[in-house]
Amino acid sequence: MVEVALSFYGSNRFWHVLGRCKYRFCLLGAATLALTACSEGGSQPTRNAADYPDQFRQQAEVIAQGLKRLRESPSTKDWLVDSSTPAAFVQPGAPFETWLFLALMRDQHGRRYAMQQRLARLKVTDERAEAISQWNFSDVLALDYRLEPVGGHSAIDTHTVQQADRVALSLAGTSAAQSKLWIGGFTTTKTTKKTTQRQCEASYSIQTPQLNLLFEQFSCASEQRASTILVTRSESMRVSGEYRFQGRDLVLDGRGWLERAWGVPPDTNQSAVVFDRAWLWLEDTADIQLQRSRRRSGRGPMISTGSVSKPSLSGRSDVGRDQTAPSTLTQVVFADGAAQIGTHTFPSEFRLTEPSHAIDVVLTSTHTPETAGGIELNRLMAVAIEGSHTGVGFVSYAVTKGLTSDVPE
Amino acid sequence: MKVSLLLMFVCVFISACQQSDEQDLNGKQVVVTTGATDNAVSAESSSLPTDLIPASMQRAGDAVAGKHALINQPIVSCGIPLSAMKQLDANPLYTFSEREGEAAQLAYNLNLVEDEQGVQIAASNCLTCHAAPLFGELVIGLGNEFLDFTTNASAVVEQSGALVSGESETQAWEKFANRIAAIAPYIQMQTAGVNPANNLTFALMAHRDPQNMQWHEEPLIKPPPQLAPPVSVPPWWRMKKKHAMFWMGEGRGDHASIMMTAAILCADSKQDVQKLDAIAPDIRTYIESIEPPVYPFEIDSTLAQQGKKVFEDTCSACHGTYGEQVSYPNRIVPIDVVGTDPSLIEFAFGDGQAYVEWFNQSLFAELAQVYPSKGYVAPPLDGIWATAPFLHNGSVPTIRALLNSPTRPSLWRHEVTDSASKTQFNQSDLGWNFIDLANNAEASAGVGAAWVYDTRVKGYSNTGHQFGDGLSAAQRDAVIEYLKTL
Repeated sequence: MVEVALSFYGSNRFWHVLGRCKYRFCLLGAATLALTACSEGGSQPTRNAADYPDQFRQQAEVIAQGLKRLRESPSTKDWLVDSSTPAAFVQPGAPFETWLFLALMRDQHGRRYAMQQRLARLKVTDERAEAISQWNFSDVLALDYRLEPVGGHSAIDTHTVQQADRVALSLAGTSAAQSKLWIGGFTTTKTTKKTTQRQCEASYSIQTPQLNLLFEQFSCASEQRASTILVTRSESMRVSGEYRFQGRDLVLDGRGWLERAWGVPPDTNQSAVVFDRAWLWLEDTADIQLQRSRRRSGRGPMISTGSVSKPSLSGRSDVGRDQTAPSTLTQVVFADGAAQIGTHTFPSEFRLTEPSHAIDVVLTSTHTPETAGGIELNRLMAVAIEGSHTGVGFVSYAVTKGLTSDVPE
Repeated sequence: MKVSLLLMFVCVFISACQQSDEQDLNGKQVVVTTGATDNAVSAESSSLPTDLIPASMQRAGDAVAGKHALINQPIVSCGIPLSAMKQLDANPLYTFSEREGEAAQLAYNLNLVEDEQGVQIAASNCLTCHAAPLFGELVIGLGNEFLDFTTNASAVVEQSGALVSGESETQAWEKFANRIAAIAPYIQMQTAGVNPANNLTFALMAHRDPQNMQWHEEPLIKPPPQLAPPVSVPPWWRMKKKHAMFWMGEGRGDHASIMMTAAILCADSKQDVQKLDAIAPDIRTYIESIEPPVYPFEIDSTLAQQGKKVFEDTCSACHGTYGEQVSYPNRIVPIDVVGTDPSLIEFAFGDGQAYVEWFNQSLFAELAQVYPSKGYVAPPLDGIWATAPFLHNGSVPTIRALLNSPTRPSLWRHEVTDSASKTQFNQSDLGWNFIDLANNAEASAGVGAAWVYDTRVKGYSNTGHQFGDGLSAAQRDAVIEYLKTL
């Protein structure tokens, strides 16, 4: 029940993004005016920030204080207006929502790519603001995006991070009617096709300045629930689209996953246990999702669990209606390799074995010392898979060493 | 896995009778009571073997204080920090209104405990296994036959650590997590619903010095086999009649002493055991006071009366008599007579001897002994209607199948995963609805696979107890109707 719900917050980079966000809000305070109205009288029942776990409360309070300063120190600067009144949060009392899209793809030349995009939405006031202006700071959107090559072909400059401060440029918003979120040139739109108890057909259009992708979902996501967290987790979806790079159009095709979460996140920065995750595409064989719990102390057992689903069709577009239901991996062992990325304290290799499925592979991070960037709470990295099977995937590794008390800029 | 399964401890209690002037572990006088039942149905009244368990001395206690201790005192002294548990299970379905403060918000099977560092902990009590919701009400004493031990218990506890932070809470959690990690390999079951109680206790013994109770990270004696033998959890209300604890009747002497052995997960010294011992007689007395639930559906009293005659002619020699003439023989039926799965017995007289010796050399042996038999105790049948599935390993889903061995399914799956719904209770056969998979292995895979009971697995056999096979269909109907009245 709780497994994925807990691991989700242990494996995301939202706090990192938001950690940067909180400083930039101070800068915004000098430039933005009282368009940030947070009116009284909202009808949406919500929790008070004081009810949230410490880390969350601190973040929310920093942002709320920034907003107060904005109101008290107005600026005369005019801003673009493109935000609408945000859609209600999905669950009352859930001040935090995320959408994590992961895609593993090939282009028409056989080159492989990995795309990760996380959208996060955080409620910062207890009242839902009235749309007295098009500005609305009752919530903040953040986006973390990366498209990278996997497998040695030439690097493409696709590393992009859009942060929550884009909200202040009024380029972000949400729309319930269109099931749409946007931050700057990054837009995600959901189209529901058919929803029954057993069928949840939908598509998600992801648009960035250079990339257009369509995630097609055919089966209902599994739901993981704890008292303060709800996570829905899709089986692999078909992904197709185009990437515009250096004047060339690359046609992409592959598969991807979506994890959608709501809730009040625990303070994973200090938790006794962290989670590592993996989403793997063993080409023409199977899709695998893995999770491993690990104590921050380094003592005790590391426990890996996972599931595998086998597509019934072959070829690159083999994800869809006929995909088999996932089954549990009963003998999975997910171990760290000794190698590290530069001087960082997280591994660059992992070994996955599962004797009952004849799986024995090494997962190698695509990150290099040059591309790895700073140490983050969680490192979500694309990996190349070699051994008994080949393929590509993602590993999310929870960093427990080398962190300072503050999140690095 | 449900939150309740985070903390799995089995306290098997028993009550009985007589008098003595011995001293308990705390140096107090042992008070002795006289049994409410006797061996009224003598062995001579049947042709069955005459291995009748004699009554043994029990310490008297206070039932009211016993219930209070059961749901408020540190039965198990370690667990998950309260702050984490509140996030895991903020609104438990069943709580105790007589509890106060934070404890009132905890699930019925968790007690609020404070460790040496002042950390508040949600620690399991005995009710995880010895209470169950029945038709929307919590029934204390009803063995929970719908717990799922098919997954790695340590995995669930490790995951809960994601909600634990701060040095003192982490230390408290880590002690619990370490203990669970040590015993987890021995308590994973093939099938949901059956209980690893035996292996749990053995695993706890294996890591402890029997005299000073010191915990050792490496086992001191050979651990139990990782394929845990399944047991059905017997209802507590039987204990007032039983002279010995456990299916083989191996728990002899002071039952309060024996029941403590299942609660020693974090009792690391003689002093810790003495604390348990101080409340154990009260808890045993409370258990003795529990009555079975009344059958909630209609009963054909005429048919039941006919069944009573058949029952007394066929079953009473082992299972006793009920109604105005109450008797219970405490009979051990030899394995070659009863013919049910022998795995428990084979282990007890094989590698399990190490655990017999452990107990009999331990602190708990001052007033009690472990003495396994080469047979199984025929239990009292009070409230039998509520206790499906049947036999000591829970291998037979209904009373009707129990009384007609050729019809027992060899591969079957629970149709329900709890005992909540009256519509899922089969009033005709006395048991929860199930699906006979008819040896169709393919049907047993996929969703619900954990709930498939495969009687071909060692320890899971549904053989034996063929004493109802000779009944006519009408007689069988009558006996089933009569059993509803017990």
